[in-house]
Amino acid sequence: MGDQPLLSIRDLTVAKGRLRLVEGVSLDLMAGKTHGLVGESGSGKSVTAMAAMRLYDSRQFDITAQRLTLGDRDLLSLSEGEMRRIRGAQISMIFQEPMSALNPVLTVGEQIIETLCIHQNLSRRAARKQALDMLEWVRIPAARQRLDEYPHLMSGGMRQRVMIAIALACRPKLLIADEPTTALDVTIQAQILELLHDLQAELGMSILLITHDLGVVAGYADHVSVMYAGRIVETAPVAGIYAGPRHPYTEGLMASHPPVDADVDELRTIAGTVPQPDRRPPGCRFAPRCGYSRPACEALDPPLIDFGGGQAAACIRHTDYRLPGQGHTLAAEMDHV
Amino acid sequence: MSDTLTDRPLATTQEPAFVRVHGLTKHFHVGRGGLFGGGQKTVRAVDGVCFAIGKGETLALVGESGCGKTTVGRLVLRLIEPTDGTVAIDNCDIGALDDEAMRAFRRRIQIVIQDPFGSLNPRMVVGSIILEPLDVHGVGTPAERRARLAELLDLVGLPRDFAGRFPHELSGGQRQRVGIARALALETDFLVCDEAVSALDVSVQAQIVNLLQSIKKKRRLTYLFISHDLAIVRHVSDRIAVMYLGQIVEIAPKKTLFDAPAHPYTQALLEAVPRARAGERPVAAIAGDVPSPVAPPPGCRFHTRCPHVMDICRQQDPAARDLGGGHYAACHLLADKPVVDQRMPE
Repeated sequence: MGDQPLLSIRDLTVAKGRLRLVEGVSLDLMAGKTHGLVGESGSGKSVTAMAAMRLYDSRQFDITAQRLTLGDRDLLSLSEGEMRRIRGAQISMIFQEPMSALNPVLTVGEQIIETLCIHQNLSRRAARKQALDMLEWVRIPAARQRLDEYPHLMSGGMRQRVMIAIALACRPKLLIADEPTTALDVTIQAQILELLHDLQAELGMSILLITHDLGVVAGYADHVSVMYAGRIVETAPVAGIYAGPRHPYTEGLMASHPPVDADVDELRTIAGTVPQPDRRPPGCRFAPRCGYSRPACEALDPPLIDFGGGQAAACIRHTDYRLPGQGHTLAAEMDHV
Repeated sequence: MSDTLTDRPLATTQEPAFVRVHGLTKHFHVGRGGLFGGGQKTVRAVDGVCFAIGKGETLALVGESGCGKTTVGRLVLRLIEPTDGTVAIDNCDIGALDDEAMRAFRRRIQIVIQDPFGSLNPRMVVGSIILEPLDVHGVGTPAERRARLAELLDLVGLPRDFAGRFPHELSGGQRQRVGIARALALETDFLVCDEAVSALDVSVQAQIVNLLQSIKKKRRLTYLFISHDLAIVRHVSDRIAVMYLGQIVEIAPKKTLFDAPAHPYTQALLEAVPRARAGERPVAAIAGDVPSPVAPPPGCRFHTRCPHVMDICRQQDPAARDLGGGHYAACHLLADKPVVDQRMPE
């Protein structure tokens, strides 16, 4: 039973009208572990998380999946009311910009108390006591004064601590952290990541860590999935992907940000830009920007190919430009398309 | 003029200073006082900043939000007037220029800012945006301008037919290329890049960084590169100045700063940068937030967060010390090194 994932997504597709924002995304997040979801803007990483929490209005978005489960609960079959009880209690979320997620006209204490009252049926007095404990728990100095302060008086780092306190108030099993430190300075980022890491160990919760920063993922994730143009193009244990990325996009991402502790002559770039959802090329979506592209790549949209050790990439470069298990004929045909 | 924190580092570049900044100070007054008795407060955004940049050199200015680096960039171009201090560019004290002379001088000094979405007029096509500086300064015949536009588009790697497009038709990276082309339209030889690549996705960021590097080589530009991203700074700069709460706390050639940072703040900044290596976590070496520049701490401004704080740090503003090889830092831990700055309280 230790192998049972906490969050399991199979073949998730999110569409808005004709636009397919996310296509065929699958991932498993183990209990107590951190799964990094990496990609550039528009890759579909936030959409994946929002859809997993069922935060999209089904009248505007078409969301389909073979499976979307939290523990043994099928999230797809829950009513809106049941889903609301799960959000905040069992799944919680923190965002990049804590100022816009906090209510500016309520004190931070009120906002924590609100969550506690909704989900835990506490009296206000007991909730206030617990809110104070929560602020101390997320290491906010002078917590008693802070409880009655408004968010605009706080620094970005303090606001993010308040968000974490609210998100973790009900000890959720799963925290979705969407670019939680992107708006913060680097010394504050280090503090917040360390805090999350410690609280995760204490609560035994799982974290889905959404970020564009491969450095953050390297330090804090157990497993990484890289998204490009609505698809997961590579997924691997963190050690595997840094030792040897299999997808050219992963490789490009790693090479385009310079290391802080070594010198490089020229930054490698990925030519062009990410295609919009309505302008994705047929075949492999990355092919028009890929230095290794062959005619077969433009004809064939590759599925994730297993490279062992939990690593898989949607790229046919390492399999001789053909799908594994298929004979010469396919690749040969493709090359002549 | 006396030796200052940053007059000397140029000795290592073998170049006369092209940009020389001395005692630069900017205090903003906020609040009106009066009726509600709030009283006026003074934000000490920049306090006695000195540095020099050699011709063709890139000096990076790094620090966290609110440290004053953007204000320094704007002061250096005289986009805002300093409270105190001087800026000389190519031996010209730009603070002493009258409006007309300053306007003429602006042909040589330009800025590229972070937000490529907010800095381009949405109602103008790319060609007009890029050529606007020529209009403003009345430069060139129509034929010369057309030629110049083609040359600038080529320089920043945009197809020539982009001249007829509107900013909303372009991606973030393409917009930033337009911003760079506009900044280079006249006889620019000094460019301030203020978080010029920070808003871009990492793959596009690399394209723009490489573009800025190649243009610098081609046109022998001098850059003041303002950024919070230490990895990018390591890649683009020759020397680096680290700012904290309105002051430069350390300045050194790039290699020295990364290999042997002397100021505890610089050390903490470097340790906090995530390394892209599996399982290696950044170190949260300093606790707490940056204090308010309205009431900076007495003594060393970093003492409230410094892991090595001593009694003297709470009382005395540390002098800048010469660590050799163009490396200067202001910290009481370096008391055995020679003083180079007069920034001490009497």
